[in-house]
Amino acid sequence: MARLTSILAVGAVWLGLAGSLRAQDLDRQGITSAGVCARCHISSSLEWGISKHSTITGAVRSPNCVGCHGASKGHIADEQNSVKPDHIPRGAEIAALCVQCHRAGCPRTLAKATCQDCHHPHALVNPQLDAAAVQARASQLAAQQAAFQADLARGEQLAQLEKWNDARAAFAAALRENPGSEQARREILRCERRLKPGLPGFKIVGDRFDSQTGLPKEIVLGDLGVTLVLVPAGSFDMGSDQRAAAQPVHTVDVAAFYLSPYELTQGQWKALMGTNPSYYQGRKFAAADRMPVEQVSWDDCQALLRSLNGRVPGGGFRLPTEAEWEYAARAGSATPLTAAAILRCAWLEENSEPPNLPPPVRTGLYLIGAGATSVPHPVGTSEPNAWGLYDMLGNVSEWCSSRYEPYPCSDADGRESAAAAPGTRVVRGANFADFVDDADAAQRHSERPDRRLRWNGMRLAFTPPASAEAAAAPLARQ
Amino acid sequence: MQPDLRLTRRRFLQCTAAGVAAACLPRRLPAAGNQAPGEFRRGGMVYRPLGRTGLNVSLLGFGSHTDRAYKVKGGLRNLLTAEGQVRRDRQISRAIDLGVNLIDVYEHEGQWEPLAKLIKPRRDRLLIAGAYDNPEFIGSNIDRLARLYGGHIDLYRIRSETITFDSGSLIEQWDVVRRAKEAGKIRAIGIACHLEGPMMSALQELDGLDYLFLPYNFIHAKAAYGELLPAAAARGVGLIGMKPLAAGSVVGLDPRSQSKSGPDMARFQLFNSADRAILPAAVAELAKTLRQLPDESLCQAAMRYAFSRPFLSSVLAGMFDDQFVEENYTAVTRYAELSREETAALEAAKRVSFLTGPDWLPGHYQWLDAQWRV
Repeated sequence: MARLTSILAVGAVWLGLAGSLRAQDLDRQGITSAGVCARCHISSSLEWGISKHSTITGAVRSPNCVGCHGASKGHIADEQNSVKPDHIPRGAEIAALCVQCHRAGCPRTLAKATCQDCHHPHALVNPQLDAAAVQARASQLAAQQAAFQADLARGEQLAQLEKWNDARAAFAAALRENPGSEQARREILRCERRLKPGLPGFKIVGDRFDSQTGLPKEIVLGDLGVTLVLVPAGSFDMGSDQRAAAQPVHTVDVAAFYLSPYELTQGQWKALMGTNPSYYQGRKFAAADRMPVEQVSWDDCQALLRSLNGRVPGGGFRLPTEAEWEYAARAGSATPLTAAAILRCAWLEENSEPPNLPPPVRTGLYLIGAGATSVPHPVGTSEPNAWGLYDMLGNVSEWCSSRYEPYPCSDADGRESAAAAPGTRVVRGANFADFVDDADAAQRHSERPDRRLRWNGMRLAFTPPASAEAAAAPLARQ
Repeated sequence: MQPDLRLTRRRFLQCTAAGVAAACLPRRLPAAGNQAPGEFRRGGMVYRPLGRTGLNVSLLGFGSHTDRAYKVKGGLRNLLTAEGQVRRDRQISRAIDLGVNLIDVYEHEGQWEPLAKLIKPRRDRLLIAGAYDNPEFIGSNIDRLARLYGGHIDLYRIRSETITFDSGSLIEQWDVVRRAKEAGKIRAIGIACHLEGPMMSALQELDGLDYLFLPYNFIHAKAAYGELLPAAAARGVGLIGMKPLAAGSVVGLDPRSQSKSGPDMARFQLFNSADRAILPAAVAELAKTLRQLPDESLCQAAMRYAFSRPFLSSVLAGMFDDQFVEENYTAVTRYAELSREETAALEAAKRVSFLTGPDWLPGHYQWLDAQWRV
């Protein structure tokens, strides 16, 4: 009975603290870290989120959902819940998992095969603490939490007054109270960015800054004239019930990143690579330099990115991931656009015929010339989406960095690895030869990385250096 | 203890009943070897899965070619006359009633619209196969076809004799076809080809290939497809046989066949031409073996040859006459392993075709003769 009371007491303290945290912190500490599993297994995710296991990343076999239960793709995809997870360890199997890391056995009892006698499989709370110790620990944690919240609030007030040095000091104090707080670290990073707003090699356009990250909302790479806009961090429902390859719909988090509002042009490609591989160029296309580059393979795009990153201190240019692309194309909207709205913002088969085209000729049954002559248009000549991005749904299709894999989208399965690997890469967005029915932010397409087609182009994405550092150094958790 | 071997009345009845039952069974039971995985029978028609597409196609498919004898004279030579269209609609309707669910349709024969109109009430029960046979941009071609058939076409294919993947053109076409499938306009995508080499290339180069149209008949010496069949099976690519009667020429190989179906049949009257030197012994042998098939024509035996191949999901046959529909259906209903008499008749017909030279095939298919004899 005493053991049960202790478990409940410590659990209640932890859950109470978790409840007092801001939503973003709660996300980071359990729900989001548990990924798609947390959508159904909320209690287990919360239990795991407060355990020390949730702070361990980068291990050969991380003690997280996938580490113990396998990737369980069938279970995730099955809405009827008739497919079990790949693996459900029971009894001695759990102890066998524990001993993979805890080779010496329990630090207290040195026991090896009886872990579950004391520890809950997800929460790991140790019931052998006595009630007084639990109470003392709870009081200490509550005091720390109160101080942490006060420092965060003070920092936020100072940030609103744009007193970035003072705000930074307040957030640093909060981080000392709660060294695992990702929110505090984010806020410190935001203050530092506002204190030194420049990005090496870029010019800041205007004076608008992102309230979450402190990054400038628009930058331009001086000599090439490559403009980038900041896509804010957020989450969205990726996929579509209407598209077989885009099922199941699942929630994905996207960190803030820069994306070019325009597809990469032939002129920019030529300036970087010295050649123009595009099909649509020459005398017929007076504005070819402003038209999107096409007939480029994924491998060609990687070569261009290597060249471009060589010219920018710290690099950071890349193709957008599939999730980033869809997030940016949706621009915060969950509802599909009407055909008329799509045709206003996308060059498609229906509106991409050159103006001086002779009318189609009917010869017998054949309609010669119909539909065969649609061409890409100069970038940025249609309407932008709500986030100021042009041609996301039309003009040319765009290579993404991701390898084509079935949903749900997960970084853990290696789909974002840039290394050469067998398989196909994702191409997103419709193009001038597609019809309005095909223009959908959720539509996925795959292509071999060495294939060059006259409707596949690219769009630049950019990871700001500080974010890259943050991503490379995962936070330690409490 | 010794078994009781006395013949009682009950034992006598048991033994004789079993003997009578065995004697009443059909003489040609389906052999386990030619039963395709996932195959099932509904009524008299047999259905087989098409690769990994999830589609079940009828073993007999309705081919796309139309009867030349009923085509409009003059400019639009591929269009059928009003009478020809009535005949074709009647034949397709009958085939559907008999359980045929796969209908191939060519645009250049002017059949897209008439077929769409004919099958509209039964569209959801049928699988419509279309092909890229128009100089129009392939994306527009698919879009028009899908709109015509209620939003999607079930099978769509690129036709190619020389797949040269370096050119990029076919890869581009294939990319458009794949995009259309992803957009829900097509359910299964494939190619049609007459040569094994390009078909092997297609298996390697065309991502998402669902099925292959390939010629398959008893004369085709390369029909073993030694490389292709295992490669297609490994990738789950479905196979649909075409030209089971060698572009209709098997009709002409039967000395008993009469030109009763229309003037176009005269084209196939191999034995009526004085120009062709056919060894009388070979013809006599063929006539003798055909006499051993009292209830079956050479065409039916040829169809049954194709039907008995378990790796073919469906066999498409052009049917220009009501009688062809009925004969082909009858061949399906007893599609089991070929009898010795049927095999002998087909071998004799094959010898005659080889002795005749390419002339046994219609002019525009005579290039296949060399391929098939290798």
